[in-house]
Amino acid sequence: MRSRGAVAAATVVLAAIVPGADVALGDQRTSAELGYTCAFPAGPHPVKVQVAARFPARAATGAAILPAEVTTSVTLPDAAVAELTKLRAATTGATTRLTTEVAQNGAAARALWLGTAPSVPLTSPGGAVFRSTGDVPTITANSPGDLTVTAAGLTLEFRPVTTEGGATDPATLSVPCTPAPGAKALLATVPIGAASSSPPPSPTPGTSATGSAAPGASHSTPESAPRIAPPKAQAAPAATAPKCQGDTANPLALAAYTTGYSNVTKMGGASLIPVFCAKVVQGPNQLKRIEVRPGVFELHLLQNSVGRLDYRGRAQTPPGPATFLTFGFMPTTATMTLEAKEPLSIESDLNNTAGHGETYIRASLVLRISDVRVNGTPLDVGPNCRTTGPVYSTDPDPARNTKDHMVLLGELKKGADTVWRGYSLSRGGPLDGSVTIPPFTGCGVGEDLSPLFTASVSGPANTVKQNQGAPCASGIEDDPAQLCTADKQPTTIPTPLR
Amino acid sequence: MRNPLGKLALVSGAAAAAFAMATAPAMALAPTNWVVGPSSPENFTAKSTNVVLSINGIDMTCTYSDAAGSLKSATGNPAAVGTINPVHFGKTGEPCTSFLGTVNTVANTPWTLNVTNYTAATGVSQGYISGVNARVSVATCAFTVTGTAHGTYTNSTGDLKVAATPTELTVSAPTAGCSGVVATGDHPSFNGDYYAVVTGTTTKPTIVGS
Repeated sequence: MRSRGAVAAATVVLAAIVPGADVALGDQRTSAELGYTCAFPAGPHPVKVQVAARFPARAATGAAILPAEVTTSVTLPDAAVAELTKLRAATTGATTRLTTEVAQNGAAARALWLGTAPSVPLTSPGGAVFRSTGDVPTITANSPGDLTVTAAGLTLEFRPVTTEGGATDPATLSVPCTPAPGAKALLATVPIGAASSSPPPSPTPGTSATGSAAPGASHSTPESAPRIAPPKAQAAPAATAPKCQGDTANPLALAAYTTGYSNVTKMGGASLIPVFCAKVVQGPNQLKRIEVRPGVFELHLLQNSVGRLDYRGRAQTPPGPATFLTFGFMPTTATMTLEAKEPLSIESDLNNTAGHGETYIRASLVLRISDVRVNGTPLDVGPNCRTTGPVYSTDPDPARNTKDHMVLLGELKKGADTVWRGYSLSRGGPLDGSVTIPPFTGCGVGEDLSPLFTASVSGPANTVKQNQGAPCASGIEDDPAQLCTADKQPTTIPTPLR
Repeated sequence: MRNPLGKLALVSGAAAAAFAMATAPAMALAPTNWVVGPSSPENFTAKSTNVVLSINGIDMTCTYSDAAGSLKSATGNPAAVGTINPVHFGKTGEPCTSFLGTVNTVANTPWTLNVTNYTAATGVSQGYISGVNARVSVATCAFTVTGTAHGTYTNSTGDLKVAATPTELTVSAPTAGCSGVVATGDHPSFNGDYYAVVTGTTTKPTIVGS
């Protein structure tokens, strides 16, 4: 929808970029209703998309224009929801990847607007609405003239979760969408004026860019095209999984991804534990007939396995944002890492006869905090700010209630329909626990900040909910369900559960 | 060796026909003339919601399984009246499960459908599936099952009821991860009802022996 005709006569001015000219003035709120056709696996479905954002009312050349409060609302019709429920999805989160075309004076550039939408239940009728938000790239115009932002292609990425909290098969669904023909996709027009401190616009006998003269202009980024810079805070997406290559020499080796939330009761918030890699060696299987009443036996499978976390060779989770820290009303950001002090122990007792199984995972993890910023100002906590010992749970086994490890429980259950659901090491699934966060030590340089962290974070009854993906059995050739990549990493990247 | 999933190779009745060699009937009462209806040869599809493979008391259950193949009139006893190719256990979003974990099975087909007895009053044939060969995987444990599986086929319902006898299927080539659960020489049971129709119709195939 770029009005190429209107700028047909405009010459593109190659204005100098003047430092300090970053002025964007006023405010315009825009909202556009767009029609898309999305190619779901079973066929195309019409999808309504509403894109809302706040742009400056006008801006100067060289000024960074940051579209703010960007919201992409996607409404799936019942038929599209049915494609997700067909995978046994009960809820799903979504990522929206909207390509926007930023054009001015016949020259254009593209910017990707990435947003994430929280999980919504998939219940018909009425469709499902995903409200995705996220930071988007800044735009800098180099010359005066109207700058337009137009919506183009859209990709929806779903991460469905089953009623039991497990991942669906496939675990993610990527759906490409194209704008409905003839749809008006203009999101905003921002008039660009010459920067006040810049030299007077001396019209250079420059490129004359018109739609007809330069049909390919929209896909090229000539010098005069607006510049696109990725958002500063665009960290790696949450779904990014670290390398997790399983042992190919050991036929008992398993490699699996896990992620989830840990609630910090004191802060009333949850912190995401980023997708981490665990490498496990399956322990010996012990099939045991246990007599529950005289003459009545139940068949159990007992299995004790050991594992270790692996992030670039270190026994820890990848560093992730600690969102549980807030000091008063001051926005606080920090990085947290969980470091393993002992191997993981995975003990399962699966009862075939009674149709249930319990797996206890014990982990000794020290919580380390770094890169703290309070209200944008670095708070130097030093390299050694951590809990005095591992985060711990009350162990259900009194003999092992040593307050130096956390315990997560994974439950498996056989339904009346004979289907086994829930957690086992070999299938993945949800794991739950409750932990005490010990006091902090070693925080602060010159000044002891440990008591500050202890007061705000440490304490009992913090719930932990993790979700393990299906493991890759890296040491055997058989992989009919394609749970391993070619280089023996797990293909299943779980989504965090709340 | 493995049949890629989803490859619907519709095998002709040639193999079945070759099997129908002119052997003298062994017993007076045993049928030797087998007529497949409504029209021979024909292709069929079949679905099951209750397949159970059980080894050492461990049930691996599939709430979904499907099969396809061809049927053709034949003579002899036993007579090979059909070919099963392919057969799938579980599907995307509905895998087979067990307390060991999700069970993934790759069936190495074709398997052959043989008939031996027929009861005219009920329209039920007795027989067996030969050439059963499947690789079963649960995480680190993978093993092969080979042998035959006995069963019945009921003309009125289209029910191919598989109920393998206790020792006709045998486990081989287990991985180390199976140790303590499944071993070479173990005999799994295999049970399930596959409801068959002539491909693309609701018509049930018939097999009549005389």
